Amino acid sequence: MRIKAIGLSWFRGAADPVSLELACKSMVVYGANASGKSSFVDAIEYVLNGGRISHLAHEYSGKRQENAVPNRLKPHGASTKLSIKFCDNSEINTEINEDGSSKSSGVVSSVVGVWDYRRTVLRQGEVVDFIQGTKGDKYSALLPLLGLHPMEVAAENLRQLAKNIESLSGLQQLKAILSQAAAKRKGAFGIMSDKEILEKLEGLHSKYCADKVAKKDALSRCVDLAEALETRIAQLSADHRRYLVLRTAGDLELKGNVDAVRTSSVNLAGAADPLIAQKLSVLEPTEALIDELPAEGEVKCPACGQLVRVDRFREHVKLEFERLREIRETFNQRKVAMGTLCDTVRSLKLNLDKSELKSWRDEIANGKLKECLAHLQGLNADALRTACTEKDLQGIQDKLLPLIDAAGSASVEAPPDAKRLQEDQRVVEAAKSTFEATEQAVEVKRAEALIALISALEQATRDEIRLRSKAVISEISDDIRKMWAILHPLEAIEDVGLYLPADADKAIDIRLKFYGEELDSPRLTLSEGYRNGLGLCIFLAMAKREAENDRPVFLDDVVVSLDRDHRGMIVELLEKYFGGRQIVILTHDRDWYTELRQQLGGGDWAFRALLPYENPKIGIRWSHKVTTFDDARAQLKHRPDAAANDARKIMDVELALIAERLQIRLPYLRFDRNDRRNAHDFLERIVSDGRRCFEKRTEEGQYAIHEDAIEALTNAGRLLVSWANRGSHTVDVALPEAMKLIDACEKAIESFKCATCGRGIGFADAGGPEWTQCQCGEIRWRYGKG
Amino acid sequence: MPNDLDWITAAIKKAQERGATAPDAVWTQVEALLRGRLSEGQLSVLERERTARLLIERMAQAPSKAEEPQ
Ligand SMILES: [Zn+2]
Ligand SMILES: [Zn+2]
Repeated sequence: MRIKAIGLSWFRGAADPVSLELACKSMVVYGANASGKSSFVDAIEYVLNGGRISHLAHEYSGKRQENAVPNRLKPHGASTKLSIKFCDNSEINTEINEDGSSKSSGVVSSVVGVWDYRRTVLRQGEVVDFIQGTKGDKYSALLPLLGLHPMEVAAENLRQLAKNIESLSGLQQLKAILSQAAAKRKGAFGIMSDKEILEKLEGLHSKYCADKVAKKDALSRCVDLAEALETRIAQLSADHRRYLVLRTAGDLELKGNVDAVRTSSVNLAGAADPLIAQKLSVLEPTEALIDELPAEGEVKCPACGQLVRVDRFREHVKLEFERLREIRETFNQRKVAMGTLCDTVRSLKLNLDKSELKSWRDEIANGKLKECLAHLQGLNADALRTACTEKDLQGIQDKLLPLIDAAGSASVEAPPDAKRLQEDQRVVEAAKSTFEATEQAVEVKRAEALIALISALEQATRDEIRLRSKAVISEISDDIRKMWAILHPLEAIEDVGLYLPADADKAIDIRLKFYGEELDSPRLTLSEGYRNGLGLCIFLAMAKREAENDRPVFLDDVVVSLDRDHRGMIVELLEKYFGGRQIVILTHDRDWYTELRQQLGGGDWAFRALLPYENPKIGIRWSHKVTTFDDARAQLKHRPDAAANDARKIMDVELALIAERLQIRLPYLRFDRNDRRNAHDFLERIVSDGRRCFEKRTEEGQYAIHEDAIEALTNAGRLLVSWANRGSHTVDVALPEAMKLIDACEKAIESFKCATCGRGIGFADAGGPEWTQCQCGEIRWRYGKG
Repeated sequence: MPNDLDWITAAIKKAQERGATAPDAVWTQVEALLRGRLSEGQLSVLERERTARLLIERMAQAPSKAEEPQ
């Protein structure tokens, strides 16, 4: 879809409605610096990027750029509007409110979010930004082009989803429970197999639950058994029950639990101290380093001080993560140990508080254990689960162990059948937690499988992204290479292109060979001119991929730092790769504009020049001429001298190009040394050759020397000479003279343009190789007759 | 393009090559998610939790051969 016109009113540099009438054609727009030409490109960006114009993104622009988007001299009651008309007669109309908000109507949805700004518009600053940007920036710039956005989104969602599954399935807690159960099983059954444990359970079942129908599954048996044992114990004498409670308390593994917490604390401290020291030594200098870190090359490693390649530096970071994983494991172990200790202390408290032990408590309350009992009562066991200091551990060891010892020795006398009951009770309990654990183990396995699945999918998606980007990148690189070759024939840079660095995801970089040598960081080693040329090739290679969509391409002042030789090749490049596309070139380079006008004037290109900008109230205005003499006229009022000099400079360039095209044999120096020639030299030669070569068709269909043109050229030559030889003038005298000179120069140049077909001479070759003519053949020039 | 498969089919195939196993119902669910919401934009925290729960449930409802006790 091509653009027919872009209309602005009070938008950016525009005042009253002004329109860039492209008429669906390609166009070169000339405008001196600050003439407002970029306002048209701003309008495109505004529409494509949802009301944002990136070069206006600074603090004074306001949150919605409301201070920068509307013309600040907009009169009260006028409104800021823009419109884009397309060649199918559809259009987008946008009105921007005072607060920067805007309302659009028309075919918004077929353009916004469909056209990619980066493949539609290239501006000078963006060329440099792209080359200078990081590999990540380049990747995001190219991402929409690769069409891989949904895959990126999916990969990231999968990554986070895996984390959610881990936390929602309670994987870490389940694992902790499993390891507790494993410890319990080991304590009660040693290395007995599941089958042996079941057999043992069966034996107990027939002993205590003979009256009950044996249920098949192990867990219900455990429940039956626990109930039966509970009942039997309740039937024991108070004396026996007292023994059992004491025995329970006496058998608590408090010492072991305290030791486990201690060991894991020591391990943790052992892991953490060097880790924290190392982390700090890496992170503190890294903070300062980050800004200077190049995308490739070497950096001084903050951890060891050595120069390491950036990719190796990444490995350091990976190692950090390994260490973090270790520390996490130790951390979990400690949590489990603290939980177990908490359970033991609670159990001690519960048992020693039981009514059966009232007399025992009374006994010890008079002795040295009184203090210990008070410590136990005052202890908040649950707090140990989350925080447990060495002081807590010491207290537990000093005050609670004696209680356990006392309970233990007081229960030595317990009668054997009561002891038996209790031991069986423990076996049942351990069996129960063992069989419960098999269920949890299945859950863990399931969660782990699911996490592995999601992670594998994430990796597979990333692989696929890489594979597909590689293919697109290599196609783009082929185009970059071809375009580069056109722009820089016979130059030392070969094999330029984009590639995906092997060591980083979401990264794209530029690779090139300079004099046969691979360059790692073109953005650091290339001259400005090369950088811009490269940026232009990359952009054009990207934009080329829109070919089937026939979308326009805007080039806004992108050749500023290209020298004339390279600049000259751009047309060749555009014609070769964008012949069928609508291209809008905006430039403030008058010479290049003139060059383009003369080079492309015979084709489908249109040319427009803007008047120099006066003030925001007057806004953007078009010149009525395609030539740039209005630049000179704009200065007439205040600086007639400068105006006339400007006209002469315009003539220098115009005539040099015309002379080249008409193959006028004048020792011609290349453009960049052209300053040594002046308009007068060319004119003299063109006039003298023209008297024999410049012809116009008469009404009878015959050709005769184009006298009007010769006269216009002669007149311009005469005025240029007399202006150069004039004495000092007052403004009153200079102004009419300068005005006359400018008009004469313009007329002379326009005499090479046909009044009938509107095309310049020198494009169509008709009547054999000796002639060049306008499109309709009304005016023509015979080569080599001079 | 390097292959004719759409990327989701290709990614699932690659994940299987990487040794990922799950009951068919879970694969079906995951594929449906990839063709829908997972590729459309970043999931919100709530959506993510809902999706995670859904997958955990699917996984529990259809035990795979791999996880039955050998
Ligand atoms: Zn190092
Ligand atoms: Zn003509």
